[in-house]
Amino acid sequence: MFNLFPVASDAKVIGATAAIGARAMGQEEVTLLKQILVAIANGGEPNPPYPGDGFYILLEDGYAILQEDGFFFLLEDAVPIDPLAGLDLSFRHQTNSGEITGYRDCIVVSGAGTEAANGRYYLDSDTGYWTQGISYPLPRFFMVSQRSGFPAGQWWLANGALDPFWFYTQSSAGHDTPAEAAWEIASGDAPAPTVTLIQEPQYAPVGLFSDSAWTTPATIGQQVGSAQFPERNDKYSEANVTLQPTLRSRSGVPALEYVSDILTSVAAVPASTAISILTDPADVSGGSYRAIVIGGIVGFNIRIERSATNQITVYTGASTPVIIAGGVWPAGGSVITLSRTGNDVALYINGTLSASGTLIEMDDWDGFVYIGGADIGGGGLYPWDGDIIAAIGYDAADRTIVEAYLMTLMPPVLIATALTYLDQLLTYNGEYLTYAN
Amino acid sequence: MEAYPFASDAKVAATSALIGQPIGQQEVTLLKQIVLAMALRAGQTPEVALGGTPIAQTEVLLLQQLLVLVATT
Repeated sequence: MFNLFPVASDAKVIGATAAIGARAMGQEEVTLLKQILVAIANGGEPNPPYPGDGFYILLEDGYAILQEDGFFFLLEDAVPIDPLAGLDLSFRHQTNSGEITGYRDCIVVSGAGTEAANGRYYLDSDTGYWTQGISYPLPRFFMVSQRSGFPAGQWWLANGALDPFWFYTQSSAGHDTPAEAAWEIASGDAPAPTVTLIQEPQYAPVGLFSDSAWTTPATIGQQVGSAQFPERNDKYSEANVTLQPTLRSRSGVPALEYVSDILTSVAAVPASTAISILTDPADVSGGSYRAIVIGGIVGFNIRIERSATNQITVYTGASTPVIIAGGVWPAGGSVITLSRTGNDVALYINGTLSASGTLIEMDDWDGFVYIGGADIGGGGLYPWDGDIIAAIGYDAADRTIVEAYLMTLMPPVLIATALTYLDQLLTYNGEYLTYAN
Repeated sequence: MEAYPFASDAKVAATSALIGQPIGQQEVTLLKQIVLAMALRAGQTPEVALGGTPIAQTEVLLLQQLLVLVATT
């Protein structure tokens, strides 16, 4: 219960002020009764639950009293924090259903003298720095201020224990971590940056969209074309963070190179594996439809057909991994059909899918990885419930992954399972793979 | 001393949630709500906390009830 102090010392006034939420005590009966009610209702607990957890009282000359977890701290050069300013609503992670699955804390810095310091910051628990684009839980309180003894115009953040965290601006492209020397303390001219603590909507990693603006989620089974194929990190950073380390973790070997290793270390196909390649040899020799690589597992079938109308169809058996590398798929409605039974994984590497109707049909719980090459063109993806689709861009010079996107129509709780599927695909040892041209 | 209002807004919201109604604008209403909040904080209904007596309607009686609650809850 809230305690009324018989002697109103300064400390007790501060305590009472804290109990009602850092608001100055009222001067009339009704206001005082309201504040008593608030104090009682909150049980005398000075800390309200998030987002109001942690507050400060501004004093004169830039000093402030910080309250956190029942302790008070005196700060100097305090800068007010507007909890509503700078709220960035452009965040557009989106599931196919548009469902928000949760929230995470982050801070939004805006108005800094150095514009590059603006942005969303997350606490990197490994380095202790506030960095952009990495998601870690935040302490419940933060503050930005100029720090005494340091050059004017340099700003710092502190958590509730007043541990200072410098926040950094990226001085040049290509430096992604604060450990790199190119990062600098954010500095600049007045005004001081505004720092806002927000709860960032946490959507499931991406989805497919039915419009080129990526505002309308695709419905289950809807065909989407190249315009709806995600291409920008700023909309899919969550998938980036999740997928990229998975692909890079294979003994440091870039994914594309690793796949290449698979293809060049292929053993003979076991006699029990039934593979039918019905592609017209004349067309193969012409160079237009060559370099199709298919992997199957014992006891299941894979069949490739090229029709008189230039349609190539790949059928898989149940739960079959498929790798298709290089080449240009012909126009006229080529189809990659992942099995309607079982859970398939398919890997399409480089090359160009047909610009006039290559379709990738998937039933549920399949995986499709698209690495490099041209866009889907005029074709489309037919994802289904539970499918996961990854698109990976790589640097042609050094074959390192520069972009990775993950799309899925599966519930967020199953994302990890889907990533396991991808990991299995990339670790497939090629024992049963072969290729023909 | 300039106070920062944000946390207070959260507490006002929490208070309204606890008493199940917006915070009142009049003294009598506020006193009733204080009685209600104290009783709820103590895990009781106001009637139970006040020994079977309903929440009063006048300031003096409400202050008496508050005194009882302060002493007993």
